[in-house]
Amino acid sequence: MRVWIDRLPLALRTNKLIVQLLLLLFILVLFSFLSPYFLSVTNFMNVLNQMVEVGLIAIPMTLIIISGAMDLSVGSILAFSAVAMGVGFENGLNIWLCVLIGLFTGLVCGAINGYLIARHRMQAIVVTIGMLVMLRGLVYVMNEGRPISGFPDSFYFLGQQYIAGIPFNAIVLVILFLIANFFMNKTRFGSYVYGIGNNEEVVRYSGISVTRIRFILFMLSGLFSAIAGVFLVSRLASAEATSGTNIELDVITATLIGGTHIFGGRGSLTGTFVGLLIIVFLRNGLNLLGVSVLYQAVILGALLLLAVSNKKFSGE
Amino acid sequence: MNRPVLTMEGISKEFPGVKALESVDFELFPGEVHALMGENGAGKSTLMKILSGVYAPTQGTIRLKGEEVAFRGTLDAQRQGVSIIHQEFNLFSNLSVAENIFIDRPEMTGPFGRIKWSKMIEEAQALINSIGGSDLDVRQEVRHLGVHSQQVVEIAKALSFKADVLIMDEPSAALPENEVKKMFEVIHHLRSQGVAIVYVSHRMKEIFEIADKVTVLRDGQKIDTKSIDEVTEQQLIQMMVGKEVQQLYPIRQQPHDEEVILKVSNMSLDAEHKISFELRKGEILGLFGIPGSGSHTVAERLFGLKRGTGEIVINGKPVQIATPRDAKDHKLAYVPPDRHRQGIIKPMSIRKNITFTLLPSLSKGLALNNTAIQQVSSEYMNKLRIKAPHDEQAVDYLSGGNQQKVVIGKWLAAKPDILILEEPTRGVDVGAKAEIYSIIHKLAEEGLSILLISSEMPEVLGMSDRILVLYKGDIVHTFAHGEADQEQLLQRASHPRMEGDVL
Repeated sequence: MRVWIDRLPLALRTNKLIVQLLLLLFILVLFSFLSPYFLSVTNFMNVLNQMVEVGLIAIPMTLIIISGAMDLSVGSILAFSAVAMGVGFENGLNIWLCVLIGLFTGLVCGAINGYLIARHRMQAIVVTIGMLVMLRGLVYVMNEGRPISGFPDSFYFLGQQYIAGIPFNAIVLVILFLIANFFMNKTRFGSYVYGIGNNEEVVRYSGISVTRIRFILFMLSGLFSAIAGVFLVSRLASAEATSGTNIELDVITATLIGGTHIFGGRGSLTGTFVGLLIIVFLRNGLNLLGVSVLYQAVILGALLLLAVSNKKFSGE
Repeated sequence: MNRPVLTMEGISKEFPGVKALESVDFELFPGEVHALMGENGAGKSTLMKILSGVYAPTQGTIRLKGEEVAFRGTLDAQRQGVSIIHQEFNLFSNLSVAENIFIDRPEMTGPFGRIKWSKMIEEAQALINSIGGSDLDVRQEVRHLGVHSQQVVEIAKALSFKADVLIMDEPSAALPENEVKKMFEVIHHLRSQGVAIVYVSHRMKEIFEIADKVTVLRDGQKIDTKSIDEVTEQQLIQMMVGKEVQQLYPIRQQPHDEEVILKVSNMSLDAEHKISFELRKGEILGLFGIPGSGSHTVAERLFGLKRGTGEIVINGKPVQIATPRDAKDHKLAYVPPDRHRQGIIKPMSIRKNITFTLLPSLSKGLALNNTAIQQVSSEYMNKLRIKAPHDEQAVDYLSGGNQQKVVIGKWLAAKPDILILEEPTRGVDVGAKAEIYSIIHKLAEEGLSILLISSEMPEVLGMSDRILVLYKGDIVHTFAHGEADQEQLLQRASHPRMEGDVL
């Protein structure tokens, strides 16, 4: 009995993942009965297509929360990178060059976060709130709040094309999740991130640069936010100043429902992925039932509280 | 003469498996400064905790002004007139002096919890003035105050409870030299007002300067109470140390090399103090100092945890160590004093902890090489005889001794040339202690150079080939192995300049 349990992956052993998967299954079954449109390949693929931006950002967010920090600026970085890309395009640059500009913009924003947080030991929440407000302001300044559209068809491939019936962007998301998962579980980088989340001091005393790891994490967050920005523009065919507003709340909710501990040290990308599926299918199901967005927010919030309290009750 | 304000009779305190105090008697008279002395683990802090209401004694009675009392906690003890000032101050740095003194007092609040500011400020200032701190404005926030002023606030806070008995735990540890004098003035003041003071300190010089009486504890028993005029420093140390400890320490089989592996010149500990020393290959160099001597800073500086100036030469090559990473690259290793905060990641496995410092060399390309990790982990688990069912056990569940072995193993696995050990046996039982000593001994015989920083005298004396004595940021003496006993060591460490010294 013991041996059998010991052989299971860690997440399963602690039962968290099972609980989450059951919750996901429950949601899928429930809505399949409640709505005739829910259980269909078209709908599922649609849902996958729409979850990509939140999912992309959830990857670095999970790592950052595991390391005991937080990044609230992701939505603003997304918009800033997207609009930077759009402005470049409007000025006649090649679209793929503009994509690179967008990604680079995100990387720089992340680096600024990282520099202030890792190097100057400023509070991550404070720094990223500052960036959230500042960048959102800059986005409006940059383009006077005008949406930018009219991108070439080749660019829409990223967010709108399906390969073998599966959305291209969802495939990218899954691949990035797998790569990140490899880094977290199979390389020293992952060990350091968990180490920092559990006891930063010990990591430092072990002769490992905590500054560098934190810096990398926030750069990644900036980069992934920008990737999300590019995919969003491609999917909606428009770069807007309001893009990604409040996306950080969805991202953090998915991460926490996925079992990552808000104070760091524990969590997994697998959990986050399931958490992500839980919230997108829940949203989708409620949409199909015609439940208003306002009530959806109430339900989602309640679910988060339930997920966290569930952890409390099981003695975590 | 007058009657004692406090009498403790036959006080015993047992913890599971340990007898911390055994039938200790203690008497305290109004207006006296009574020093309490003893080595680490002698029972001083247990006695103080009983006196201040943290613990209840297992046996014995406490009488305060003739009446038997049983404190139900520190607040209760304070209300009855016994206050304690800890080594670490307990002040709210963002509140004013007055608020700190009178926090949460019913007499300072009116209806609806309104604070009577003018009354509070007036009384706080009166209190501060009464102990000679009239230059201190009680409306200031505590964070703007120097260490001495903060201590004055602590004293005022204690006195605000109309303290008859004031316990001061290592009150000079945090103070710079010139402020110790000021503190003594405050103590004289209190004494003249009839407050009885229990003064706990390691520093001989101070004891002789300020105390009227001294009580020495050893192994949970009271050795004696003497008037300070009746004893000499030598006698006091003799009383504290007692008989020789049995052979815990292995004896060196072969002398170490003469080759210098580490040469430190003018390494700054703070703005004013610089030290220089040499460590030879295979040597165990002891570094001893009482709290406040800066011995911890030596380790921090060497390991790149704290910046400063000075030259470090390893194996004949000058090196720059600005971060712990640099230190590690130069084959230094550091077993820190507080394993819980600095040494182990508790929820992680023994395997993860042991291999944590050397993951780069245990990777195949990007991926971790699990076979190699497993090998290293089991190698050091066996070598150090870490007792656990398997190495995937979280270190949280290990005993203190085994946790400490994990920290040592983690650094041995990095194959260092120089090992800094700070308080390597803090909080581990005697059995594990002996094991750790034999490990250290073996490592040195194999040619590892060790800097042993410890506040435990028997450990430093028993293990070291040479002992540097640190006093307030200066190396004041060097002893060869077997040259010093505890008395001499303590004397040097607490009282640097002796007659006939050539410095």
